[in-house]
Amino acid sequence: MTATFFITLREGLEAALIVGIIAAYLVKVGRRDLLRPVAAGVLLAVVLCIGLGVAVVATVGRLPLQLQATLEGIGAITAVVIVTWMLFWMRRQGRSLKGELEGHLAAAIASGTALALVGMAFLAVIREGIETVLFLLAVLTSRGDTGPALLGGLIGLGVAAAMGWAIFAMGVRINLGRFFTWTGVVLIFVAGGLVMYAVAEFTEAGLLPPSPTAFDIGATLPDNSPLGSVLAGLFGYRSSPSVLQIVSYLAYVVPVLTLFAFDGRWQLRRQPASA
Amino acid sequence: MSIRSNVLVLPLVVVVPLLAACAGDEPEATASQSASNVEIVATEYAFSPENVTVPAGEITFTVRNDGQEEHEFEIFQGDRVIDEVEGLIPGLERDLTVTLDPGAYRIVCMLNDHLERGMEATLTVTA
Repeated sequence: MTATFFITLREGLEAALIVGIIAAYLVKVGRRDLLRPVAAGVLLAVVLCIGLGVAVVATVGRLPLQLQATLEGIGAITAVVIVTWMLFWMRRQGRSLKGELEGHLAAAIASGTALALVGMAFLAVIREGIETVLFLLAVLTSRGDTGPALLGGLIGLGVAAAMGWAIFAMGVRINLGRFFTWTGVVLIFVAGGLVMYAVAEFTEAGLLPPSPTAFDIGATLPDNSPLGSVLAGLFGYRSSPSVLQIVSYLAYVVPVLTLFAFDGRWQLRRQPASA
Repeated sequence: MSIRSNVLVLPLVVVVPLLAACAGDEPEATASQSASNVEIVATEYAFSPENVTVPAGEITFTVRNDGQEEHEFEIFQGDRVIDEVEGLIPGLERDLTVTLDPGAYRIVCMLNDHLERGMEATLTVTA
């Protein structure tokens, strides 16, 4: 039961983090009105994932490994692009606000782009959701005592959702400047984790060459331990990454973090008087 | 139906209802060479049997986790993963059907440090 709990917790956390950040952002820029569409989008994504998963299992039983790995890799890269765009866009919006009271921001945020955030929340859930649903269905169709396993999986999703809610609540409370800084940094590491994940999937699909293991700290921090699962869900932690994974991780995080830190005046200069 | 067909269909009649929603392509055992069935059990930290030899063609691995931890079952040829069962939690059993050419393969669990602890089996597919 605990095994499935940590698996779905890990899967769910990533989506919950992104949705939580988007929801907090919408509140902070005075677009509370979009919270309901976000919730609706999340619900729709969940329903679609379940439908798609059941359809796959009922027809072909499972996707061929290479195909599933390729799709997951593509999904992860798409998420990297979206998250990267999102964090720079949010920060740009934040810069143009400089000390304005949060309530006045609604006018500054174009409806189209705010709606894009709603779409992103939907996509984040779809991506993680499909994987999670396929996993849970595989458990369900296994032989053995699947009840507790399934229950553990569902509880894991519940805890992930609760943590997403906590992130939302925290994000709403902290001041605008800090919000943009912190969510930006967090999202960079989330995207870095997704880059490593995409490399792993493309390697499994045979599209990238296998490479040796760079290091293995699995004995110290196992992938499926409580902390390991949370770190995996949020930042893509893995105990034994390949050389290619480490290289691509650094190739993404270092430039993007640098761009983020030095392109933004939030980091290098004293922050304007915050509310 | 011939007696041979009945005997081969019987395991399917038992297995299929157990695989709830899965109406996927069950192997037509009567149509081709007899498909191999191999039962492999995962524990901490080993597979049993540790050496598997099967004829080439369609092979159905029945993988069961009799241990206390989650395990994986991955078929490697060299550096490439042929197919796998992930997230095999304790107490569960799942089938994996693959078609393999003759050659040397490995069955490993790539989770955490299970492989270092010896969680590996050899798979020899004969012509």
